[in-house]
Amino acid sequence: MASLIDVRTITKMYRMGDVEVHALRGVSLTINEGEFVAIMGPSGSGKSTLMNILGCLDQPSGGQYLLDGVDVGELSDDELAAIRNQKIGFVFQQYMLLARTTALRNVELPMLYGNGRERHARAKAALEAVGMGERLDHKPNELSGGQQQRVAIARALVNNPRIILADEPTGALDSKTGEEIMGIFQRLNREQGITVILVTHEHDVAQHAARIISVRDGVIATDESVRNRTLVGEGRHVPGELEAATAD
Amino acid sequence: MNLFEAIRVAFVALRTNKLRSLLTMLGIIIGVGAVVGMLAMGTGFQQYLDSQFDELGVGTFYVLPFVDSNKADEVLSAQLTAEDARAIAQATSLPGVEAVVYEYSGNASVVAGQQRFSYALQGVSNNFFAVNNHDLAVGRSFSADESSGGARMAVLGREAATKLFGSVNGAVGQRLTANGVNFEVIGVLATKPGSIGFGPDVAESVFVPYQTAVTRLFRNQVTTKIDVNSVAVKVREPSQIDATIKQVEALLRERHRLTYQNSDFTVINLSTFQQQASAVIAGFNAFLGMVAGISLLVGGIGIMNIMLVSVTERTREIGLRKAVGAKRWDILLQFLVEALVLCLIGCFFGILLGYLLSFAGTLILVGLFQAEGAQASVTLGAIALASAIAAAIGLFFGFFPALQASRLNPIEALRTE
Repeated sequence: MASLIDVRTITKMYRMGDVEVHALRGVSLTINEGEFVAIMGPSGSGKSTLMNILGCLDQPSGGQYLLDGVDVGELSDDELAAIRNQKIGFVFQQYMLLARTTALRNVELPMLYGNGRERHARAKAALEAVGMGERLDHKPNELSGGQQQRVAIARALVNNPRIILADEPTGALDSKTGEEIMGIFQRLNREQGITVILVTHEHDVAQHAARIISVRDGVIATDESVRNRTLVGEGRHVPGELEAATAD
Repeated sequence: MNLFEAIRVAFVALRTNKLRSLLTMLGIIIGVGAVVGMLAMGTGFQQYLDSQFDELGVGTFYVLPFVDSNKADEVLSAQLTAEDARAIAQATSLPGVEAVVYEYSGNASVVAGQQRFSYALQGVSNNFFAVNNHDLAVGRSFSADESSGGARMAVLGREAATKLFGSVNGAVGQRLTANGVNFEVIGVLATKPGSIGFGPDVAESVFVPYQTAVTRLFRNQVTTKIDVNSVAVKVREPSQIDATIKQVEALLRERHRLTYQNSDFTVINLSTFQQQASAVIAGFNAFLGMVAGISLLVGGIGIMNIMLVSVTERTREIGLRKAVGAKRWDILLQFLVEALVLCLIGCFFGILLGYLLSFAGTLILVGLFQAEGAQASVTLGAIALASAIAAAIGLFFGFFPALQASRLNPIEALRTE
């Protein structure tokens, strides 16, 4: 079976004035459906560039990126937008909720640009799935940081994406709330089989993933499965499950 | 994103910045108000003039005893008589003629009791009142027999009756003397003063039968060549007027033994005046409309300015929308609709303002232009025009900011603080 994400020696070069910046210098990796992967790396490592490309917000300068068998490098801006809408859910460090807009409306946002049927019911279900079923009509300024991030996760979930791409999702939260958020990601990954790609520079956070890819100077430095993975909630460690997720 | 959702988002955005939205709209409100108000005034003036010309009778032309030197090769002395008028009326070669009215007028000193005034005294053919649509307020006008028999009866204009006898109703049956000749007042006209008309103000005139005027009052002034001041010819169909004018000219030349092209009389077609007056008003409207249009343009620039600010402020929101799947068109539509909604709400209040301004317009028409009874009126056409302009301005000035928003790079937009 083909991998969900198949990246083949991609490069990314920016031109800043007369200087060429090589953010990625040939990265290859595959991520299978249902994996929970953390991408780590210091700032300037190319980690963000890689994330943007994986999230179809940007396109590689060279190499190939096949997402679900589709060569993303060939697509137009609007086609990329459609892929983001249907296959990828984004979670950001700063939540990125629309101010003065209720949780429900915020979660409905992706459905405005795609399949808008049963918008209301689906948004409500997504909020219930992250434990926010009681706060549908709250606006972001009436919610705590953790609650806002839950709304953001609900928004990422609402179009039933294949991938959730979380960029430093716990960066603005205290560690306890961060744990809760990571617990949600693990549950979604485990119960719904959603592929989660987590971008972080914190080792403790990355330990919640099953596999850690670390990027340095535009190339992959290490790519290994996590031993002693932190599991939230259930408090049990099942090695067999992890190995199954990272084996191929 | 569908249109309904775009409109909803636009309203949320405008509500978020109430004061700013209002100030931005103000330009459109004032511009649309000015356009609607100006058009209302122009329409009112046009309607007033049309009604005035209608009172004169559509499809009436006048023949006057003057020589237009442009229309005569030789030096001619003017000639026009009541006989000419009767000949026009009776000619079988003139099927388009419905009625012919003739009059001779001059000033007369009119005395009633202690009151003495100088009025225009008009000796008129007995069909004068009916053909010129001058209704009688009280009493009656001359019969054909009284007219041809030289009866000493008078019909008064409204103002003349009021000044001479104190009231319109009290005038009938009273006596007056004009240039020493005794008359009995048999009727008073309803026509208001200040109406546009041919000759003296009807309300300030005294009318007597034509025969009486030329035999008793102006005997020394009339000559064998000129014994009328004007001959009014009313045609059956306004469209026949030009053809009938040519036929009447031909008839008069034949009667006056003139060669083709020479005229010892002058024909005046009031509908030409009406067309000229309409053209002047149209020009006047266009000028005012342009001035108002400039204020709309300024309002439009204000819209563009605020939309650019709005796009800059909401860069992150645009980035987010793009990240979750908004296409260029979705973003373009969102901001375009926002500008459009801003303009159309402004337009709505502008129309209300224009409606208020139209009352001021009525005051200006009556006070400044002396157009008695004129009323500035806001027409559906003016509202449609103003709405169309406001929408066009929203689209035109909203397009560039919206395009800019739609072209934002989602990564950079998301990174903006």
